[in-house]
Amino acid sequence: MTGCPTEDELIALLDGEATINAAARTRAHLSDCARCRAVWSELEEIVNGIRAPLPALDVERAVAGVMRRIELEPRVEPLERKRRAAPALLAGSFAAAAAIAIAFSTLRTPSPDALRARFRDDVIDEIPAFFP
Amino acid sequence: MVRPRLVQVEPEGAPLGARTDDELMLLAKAGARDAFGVLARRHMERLVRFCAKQVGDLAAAEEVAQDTWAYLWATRERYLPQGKFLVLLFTAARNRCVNHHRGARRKSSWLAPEGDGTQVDLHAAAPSHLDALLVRERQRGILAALAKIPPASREALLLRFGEELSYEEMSAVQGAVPSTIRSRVHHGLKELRALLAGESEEEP
Repeated sequence: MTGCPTEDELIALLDGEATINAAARTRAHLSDCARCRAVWSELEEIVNGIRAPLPALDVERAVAGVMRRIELEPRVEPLERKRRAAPALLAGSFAAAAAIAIAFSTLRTPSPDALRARFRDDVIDEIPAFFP
Repeated sequence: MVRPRLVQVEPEGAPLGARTDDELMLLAKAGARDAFGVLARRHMERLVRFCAKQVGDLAAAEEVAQDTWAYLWATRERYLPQGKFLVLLFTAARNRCVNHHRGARRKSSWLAPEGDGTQVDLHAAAPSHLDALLVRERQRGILAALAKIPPASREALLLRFGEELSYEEMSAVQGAVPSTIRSRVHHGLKELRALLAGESEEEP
């Protein structure tokens, strides 16, 4: 029969990559051409061979092997690391804040004369440290 | 020694088995080993099948598959959920198969199931049994021929017909443009057909 599809065209049909028109044309040809049908059958058999299942695989055993292997790997937990680092970080922050507060309050502490001017005597007596 | 905190996967919502590959990898990223186990169970058979047809040996294929999973676990922190887990899986497996080839000469006999050693009385055997024997023998021939074609073509055929990946996915796995992969599939099939035709001509 003339106008036989090429092997590439048969493979494209088998692979699901042929256009709709090309697929219809090739299928129509296959129904009439014994020689092309034989080539088609050979290609189909090869693809089925590639898809052939393996001897039975024990999936559970294989997965257990994977799990054993990953158990051996030292675990890295970024969240845990952050938590362990947090207390030191907080302590540092508090210390820095306290230092700043003390420095600020020292700088801003009014002189005893200024305090005396601002407060009545009885109040001044309650904070003797500032009024030696 | 402070034991690291294990992440508990809450039973609420969809069960692990119903989660997508991306979701399971994200859970694995958070430390959920059971999620990783579900992922491994889901894809183990196809991964070993792919590796076995690449390296030609079932036991070696299982080792390669385990190496692949161990690698995915070790690098899970870098996983980006893009719906392309299979591409990552087969790329990692493919690279390990290539390394295996470098380290050990490929077995030309494949894992070919040549029968279990028991003698079959062909006259007494049922027709269905004979058909099964013939199919198995033809498959053995195809897989043996598969071992003889160039690795890139073999890989393309296994990914396309064995694992039914799209050309875009195969392109990512093989690191070549889809048109090149298509060409590998076509050449591979033609080579296989030629090899098998040659073998059948040699038979008496």
